[in-house]
Amino acid sequence: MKATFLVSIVLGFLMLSTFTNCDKVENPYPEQYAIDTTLYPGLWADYLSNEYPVFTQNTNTLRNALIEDYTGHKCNNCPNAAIIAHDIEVANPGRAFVASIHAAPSATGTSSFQSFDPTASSFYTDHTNPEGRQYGIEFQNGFNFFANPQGTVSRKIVDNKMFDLSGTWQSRTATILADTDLKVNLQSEVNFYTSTNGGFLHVEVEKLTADPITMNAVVYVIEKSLIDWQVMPNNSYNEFYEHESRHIGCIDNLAMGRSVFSQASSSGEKVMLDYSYKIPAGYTKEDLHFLIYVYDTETYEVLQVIKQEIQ
Amino acid sequence: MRISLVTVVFFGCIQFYFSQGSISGNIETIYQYLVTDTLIGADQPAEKSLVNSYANINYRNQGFKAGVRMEAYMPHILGYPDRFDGAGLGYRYFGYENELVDVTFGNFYDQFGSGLIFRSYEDRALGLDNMMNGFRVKLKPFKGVVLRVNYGRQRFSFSEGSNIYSPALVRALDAEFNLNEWFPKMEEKNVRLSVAGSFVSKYQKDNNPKFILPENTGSYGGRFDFGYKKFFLNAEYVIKEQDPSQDNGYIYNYGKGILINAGYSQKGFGVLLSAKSIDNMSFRSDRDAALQDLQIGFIPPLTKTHTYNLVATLYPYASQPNGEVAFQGDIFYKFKRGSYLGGKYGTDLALNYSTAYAPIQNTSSIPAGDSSRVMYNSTLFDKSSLIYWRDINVTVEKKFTKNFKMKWNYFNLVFNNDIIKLTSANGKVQSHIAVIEGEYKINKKHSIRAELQGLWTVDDYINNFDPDRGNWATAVVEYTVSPDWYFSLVFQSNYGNPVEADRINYPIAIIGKIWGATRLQLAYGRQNEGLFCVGGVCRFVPASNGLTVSFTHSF
Repeated sequence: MKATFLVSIVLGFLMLSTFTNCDKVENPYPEQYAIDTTLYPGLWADYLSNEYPVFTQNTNTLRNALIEDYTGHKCNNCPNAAIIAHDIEVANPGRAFVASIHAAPSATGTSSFQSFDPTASSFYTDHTNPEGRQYGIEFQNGFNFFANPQGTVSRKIVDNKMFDLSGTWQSRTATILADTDLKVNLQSEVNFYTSTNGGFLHVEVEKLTADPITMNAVVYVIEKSLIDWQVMPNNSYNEFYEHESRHIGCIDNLAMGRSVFSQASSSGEKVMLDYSYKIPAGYTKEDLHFLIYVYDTETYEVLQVIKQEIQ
Repeated sequence: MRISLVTVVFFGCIQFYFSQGSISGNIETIYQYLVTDTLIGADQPAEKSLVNSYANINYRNQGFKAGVRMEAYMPHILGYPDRFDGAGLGYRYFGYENELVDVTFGNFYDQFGSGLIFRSYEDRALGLDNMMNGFRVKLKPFKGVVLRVNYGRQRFSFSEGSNIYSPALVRALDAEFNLNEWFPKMEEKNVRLSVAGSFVSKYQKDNNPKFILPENTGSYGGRFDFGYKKFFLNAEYVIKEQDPSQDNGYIYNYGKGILINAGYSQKGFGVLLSAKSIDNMSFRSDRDAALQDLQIGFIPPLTKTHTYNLVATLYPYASQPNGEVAFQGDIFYKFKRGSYLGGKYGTDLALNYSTAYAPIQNTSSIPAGDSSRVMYNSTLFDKSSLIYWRDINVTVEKKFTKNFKMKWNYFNLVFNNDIIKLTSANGKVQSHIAVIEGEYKINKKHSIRAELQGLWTVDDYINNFDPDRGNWATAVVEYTVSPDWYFSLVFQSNYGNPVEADRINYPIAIIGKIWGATRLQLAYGRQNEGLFCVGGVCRFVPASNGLTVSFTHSF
C-alpha cells in the first residue's frame, strides 16, 4: 500500500510538473519581424481593428512559375536571355513571373559582368544588392550555376540541374505550370498610404500538403523597368537599354526568407506574414511590385509564387 | 482447419466471457413535425420532419466496463447546432475499475469541484456535449485520497456521423483528500472536512498572426468542504493564466474566480447563502469558440432554477464568464402544524434572492502605451453599480385538506438585456410575475393540477426599464391518471405586447403514457422563440409550431 501511495504521489508530481510549464507572454505583439507601424497615419490599434485584412478561403489550384534570370549589365548574352524570360512572362499572364537578379556564382556573388564604376560615364550603376549577391554565393557550387546568363524556373532541379541556359526555360516553365500538385497557396494584400509613402504587405500562406516539407517565404521587390547601360549581343554598349523586372532586394532584407511551415505542419494550416515597406527614394509605388514565393528549404524549389502590385 | 479451431475457441471464450456481467442502457428519440407559422416566424424545414435519436448501451463484468452511444440526427431537431448531422457512434469507452484504480479509455465525462476549471458533461436538452476523448485514470492509493488524471480533446461537433474534437488538448489533474478518513475523531465530533486541488491546462497551437499567443494555458485552484453538525461551508478559488480568446477580446489578463456556499439546515428551517466573483474565466478548448461550444470550465449560476413557464423561459439568466459578482440567499421555513399560520398540515415558506453585477475593471493603473495587453486590474467582489440580474421571489405552499393543496409564488425579476441580449429591449427589463397553483387529488389514481401565471413588465424609462414585449399570461391544466397517463394543456399569451400584431397566443397540448421504464409523449402546439437555459448555460431555440413526439426507454 505504501508503495502504491508513493508511486501515485510521484505520478502526481510528474503530471503537475508537466502542467506547470505554461506559457507566459510578456509582449503579445510579434517582435521577431518588427514592422514599422509609423507607416500607418493613425493609431496602430485602429489599423489592426479596421484595416488588417481578413482573407477569404483561397480557392486557387494553379501552380505558378518564378523565372530567376541571373544577369549582368556587362554580359553580352544576357539581353537575349532577358527577352526569352520576358516573353514567357507575357505569354503566361498571372502565372509566370520574372526576377532579373544581377549576381554571379562566386564567393562574392558577383563577377566582372556585374562590375561598375560610380565615377565613370557608363556602367556606373550598381545593379546588385545584398540578397541577390547572397544567392550567387549560395548557389555557386552544386547547382550547375557557372556563368551569366543562367536562370532557374521555380528552382526545380531537372536532370540534376537547377540552373540552366535560357533555351530550356520555356519547357521548364510549361512543366511547372502544368503541375497539378499544388503544395502551398498564397494570397496577399497591400495597404499603402500616400502620406507616409509606405504601407504594409500581408500574406496568407496555406499549406496544402501533408508531406513533411519545411517551407520559407520570401518577398522580392521588383523594379518594373530601368533604362541604363547594357552590353549588347554584338558587344555594343546600349545606354538606353530597358532592364525589366530588376530584383532590387527583399522586402525584409532576408534572402532566405521567413519560416512558415515545419515538417510537422499539417495540411490546411495557415500562417499570416506581415511586412512594412517604405518606397525608396527615387521611386514611386507604380515603379515597383512584389513577388512573393514559398520554397522548400531542403531543395530550394519554389512551390508557389504570386505577384502583388503596390496599391 | 487449425485456424478454424483457434477461431472457434476464441469466440467461444468471448461468448463465455460476455455471457457474464450486466448490460444496461437507455434509448431516447425526439421527433418533430413542424409546420409554417408566419405569425411567429416559424418555418417548416425542407425535410418537414426532424429527429434526434440516442441509444446508450453499457456493459459491466467483474470490473471491466465498456459502452457505446449511437446518435442520429436525421436531421437534428430545432435549436440544435446545424453542424450536427448523420448517424454514427457518438460515444464509446472501455475500461477497468476496482477499489484501487478506475481507468477509462475513449470518451468520458468528469468534473472537478464545482466545475469552475473543469467540467465535461452532457446536457442533451441544450445540445451540449463536451465529452472528453482520451483517457482517464482515477486512483485511490490511500485511505481518503482520490487522484484523477484526465487527458484528451473535447467533443466539438457531430458531423456526418462522426465526432469532431477540439483543436486544443486538455490535461487535467485533481487530488482530493478526505480528512475524516485520516482522523476518525473528526467524525465523532460531527466535523466533516475535505480539501482538494486541481490543475488543468490546454495546449492549442498559436494560429493568430496579430498576437503571440500562449500555446499552453494553465488553470489551477483549491477547494474545501467543511461541515459541523447542521452547518456547512464550502468554497473554491481558481486562477487561470493568460488565455487570450475571442470571448475576452484577446486580452492577456489572468482570470480568477471564487465561489462560496454556506448553509444551515434543521427540520423545518434552512438557510443557504452563496457568493461568487468571476473575472475573465471563460476557459475553452478552442480560443475562437463561442456560445456553449468547447467549454472546459463551467461557471455555476447563482440563481434559483425556476420551473414555471413564464419565469423560466422568458428571462433566463446566463452566467457571464468574462466577469460577474453574484450573490444568492435562500431561506426555507415550515410553519408547524397546528400553529396559526401552519394550520392543520403546516405551511411551507421559501424566500430566494439572487443578484449579479458587473465587476469593476480598473484601467487607471495601466500605463499608457502598455503593450502587454493586460487591460485592467480587478479585485474579487469589487462590483460596479451595473446590474446584470436580480430575482426576488417568494413561495408559499399550503395544504388545506388531505386532497387539496395550493402554492402562491411571486417573482420580481430585473434583467439587463444590454448584457444578456435576449430580446430587442434596450437596457433593463423589470417584471413582476405571480403564479397560483392548485392541486386536487380526486381519488387514489386521479389528480388534477392547475396553474395561473401572469407577468407584467415595468414601463419606466426614467429608471431605464424597458417594457420589452409587455405582459404575458399562462394557464396550465394537467390531469394525471396514476401511474401511467397524463394530459396537459398549456396556454401562453403575450396579450400585453405593445405591438398589437405581436399579441400572440401559444397553445400546447400534451399527452403522455408511461409503461414502467418506457415513456411516450406527444405534444402539439406553438412555441415562442427564446433562450433555453440549463444551469446558466443557454441556447437559442427558434419559434416553432407542430408536433413533438418523445420516446424514452431504459433497460
